[in-house]
Parts: sequence; C-alpha cells; structure tokens
Amino acid sequence: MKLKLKFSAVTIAFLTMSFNAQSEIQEIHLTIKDHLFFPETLIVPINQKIKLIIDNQDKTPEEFDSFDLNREKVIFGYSRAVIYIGPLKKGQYTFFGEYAPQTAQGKIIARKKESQNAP
Amino acid sequence: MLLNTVIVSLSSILPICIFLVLVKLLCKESKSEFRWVLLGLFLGIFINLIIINTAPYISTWFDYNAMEYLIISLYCFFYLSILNLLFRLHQQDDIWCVTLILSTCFSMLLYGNHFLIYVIGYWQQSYSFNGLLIGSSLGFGVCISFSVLFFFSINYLIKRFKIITLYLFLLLHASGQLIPALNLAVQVDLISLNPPFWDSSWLIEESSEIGRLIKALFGYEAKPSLLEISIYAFSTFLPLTYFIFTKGVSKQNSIQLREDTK
Repeated sequence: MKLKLKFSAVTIAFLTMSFNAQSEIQEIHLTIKDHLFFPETLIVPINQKIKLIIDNQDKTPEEFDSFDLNREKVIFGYSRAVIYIGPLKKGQYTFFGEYAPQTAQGKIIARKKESQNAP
Repeated sequence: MLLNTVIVSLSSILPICIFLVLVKLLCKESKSEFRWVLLGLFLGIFINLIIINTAPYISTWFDYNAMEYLIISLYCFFYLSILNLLFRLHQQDDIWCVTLILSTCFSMLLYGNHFLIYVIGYWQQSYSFNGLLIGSSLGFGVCISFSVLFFFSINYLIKRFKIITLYLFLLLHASGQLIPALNLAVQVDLISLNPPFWDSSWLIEESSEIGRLIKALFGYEAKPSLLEISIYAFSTFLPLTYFIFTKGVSKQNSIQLREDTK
C-alpha cells in the first residue's frame, strides 16, 4: 500500500511536466529601441500561453529578464528572440533589460480576454 | 553603467568562483593537480568567444530557440560531469582529468557567456568604457574576496565534518543548475510546469543580494514548482545517499580486512 502511494506521488510529480503539443498560441510583439521597451505595458489574457516576440533594434545586446515570470533571454543587437510565457494568473508581472535596467523597464498585465494591448 | 556592470559581473562571475573553490578543494582532498582546471577555464573562454561571435546567427535556428537548447544541454552536461567527478574521485584516471577540464569549461560557458556578451556588446560605446572597466574590477574584487572566505569556510567544514561536506556542496551546486535548465525548457515551450509550490519571495527575494548569492551557491528559486523541487531533491540526495552508503561499506570492508589479517 505504502509502495503504491509512493509510486502515485512520483507519477503525479512527473505528470506535472507534460511535453507540449503545438497549438494556436497568441503572439505579442515587443520592441527594444534606445534601451527602452515599446510598448512599456503589455496586456495579455489570463490562463493562456503567449508567444512573446522581442525585436532588438539597438546595436547593443540586451537581456530580457523577469523574476516574476522566471524568464531570462539575451537578445543580440539587430536581432529577434522568442519567449513563451504563461498561462498567467490575473495580475501584474514586471520585466526589465538586465544590461540597461534603469531605462529598459516594462510590465505585463494579465487580464480577462476582452482587454487589448495598451498603446 | 558602473553599478549595472558590478551587478552583471557579480551574477556571472560568482557562480564560476564558487565552482572553482569547490573544485580546488576537491583537488586538494584527492591530491590531484589544479592545472587541469585552469586548462578548462581557458578552453571555456576560447569556446565562449566562438559562441558569442556565432550566436546572433545560431540563435535564429529552431524558431529562435537554438541558444536555449544549447544552454539546457550544457546545464545537464555540467551536472553529469560533477557526478562523474565525485564517482571517480579515488580513481584519478584520464577520464577524471578530462571530466575536470570539461566541467570547468561548462561552468565558464554557462556563466562567463553573459558577462562576455555584456562587455563585448558595450565596450565600443564611448560613454561606457570607464564604467565597464571600474565596474568589472569591482565585481572581480568582490568575487575574489568572497571566494577566499568561502574557501576557508568550506575547508573548515571539511575538517570538522569530513569530505562528505564537499560532496554535499558540490551536489547542491550541480543540482541547482538543473533548475534554470527546466525554466529554459518552459521558456521554449518544451515542457509545462505547475504553478509555484511555495513563494518565499517575502523572505528572500531572488533579485536581492542574498537571493543572488544563494542562487549562485545552490540554485535558489523563490517560487519553485513541485517538479523543480522533486528534481532538485532527487538529483542531490540520491547520489549523496549513495556516497554515504558506499563510504560506509568501504569503511566496513577495511575494518573486516584488518581483522582478518590479525
């Protein structure tokens, strides 16, 4: 009985990791220019996976970093990067550029689906 | 620029310094040569420069996810190489030396990469040269000071609680590298993780100084998922139990052998 319970616990732990099938994922674009993020605020739907496409239009590299989202990615100069985020709960998630944290700052607001991206 | 360079250099160089201190102690305990580690360090810098020069091109592969796949592989190889170092510690053969070189090289590739990208990316900007130079020197200084303190602390613990302390620190450090690998796998949509099992950011924030330090030491996560906790515990305590058990067995064997010869 104990062995069964242990086996079930291990199985549950590993079932939490599932290899993802490719499906329709909403894409959101973010641009880095002059060490700033455009748009500064992104509004995304809750409980949905998002494909964040980041374009670095600066000559210098930048690192997209977010402790709230647990994401970290170097984007080389004049280059592009793709990061998957979510599904997110309702709330606000900050991100910043690790190489220019004073200027490159932004946030993602997870809301219900009706909302649109801020200008 | 100055403060940011200090932060970037600290977060990049500190994990390398921690690894070097642990490996230095491992070499000291096993009476092997440290020069292999230095070779691994130079090899790591050399490969890093090649990767940085080709990374803007490589990163576009696999829907802009190629670098993540590369880094995930490096994290896993790093863990395996440390396991191999510990398993073969008393054999000291060619494979052990090659593993020592490779593990140092992996550490350099994983952490030195960020710092080199930052320095190479910004040093040509006229406004940032002084900040980079002073900031990097300060960062290096802090890392070296910490390394000296860390070396003597662990050395003391080894004398007090035997070599198993070193095994524990190396395994915790190595297992800590599997957590960012998991996060990267989520980042490229390879796997999904459950919501955080707990949230300790009220106690120690990942972005704080202490948070960064224990992240470099043991791979601290303020909001880990159940899978992250399971993998961390499994990859640390399973080999550790094995080492404790085999050490106990070999001790018993040697006692038995001594009694037989009497």
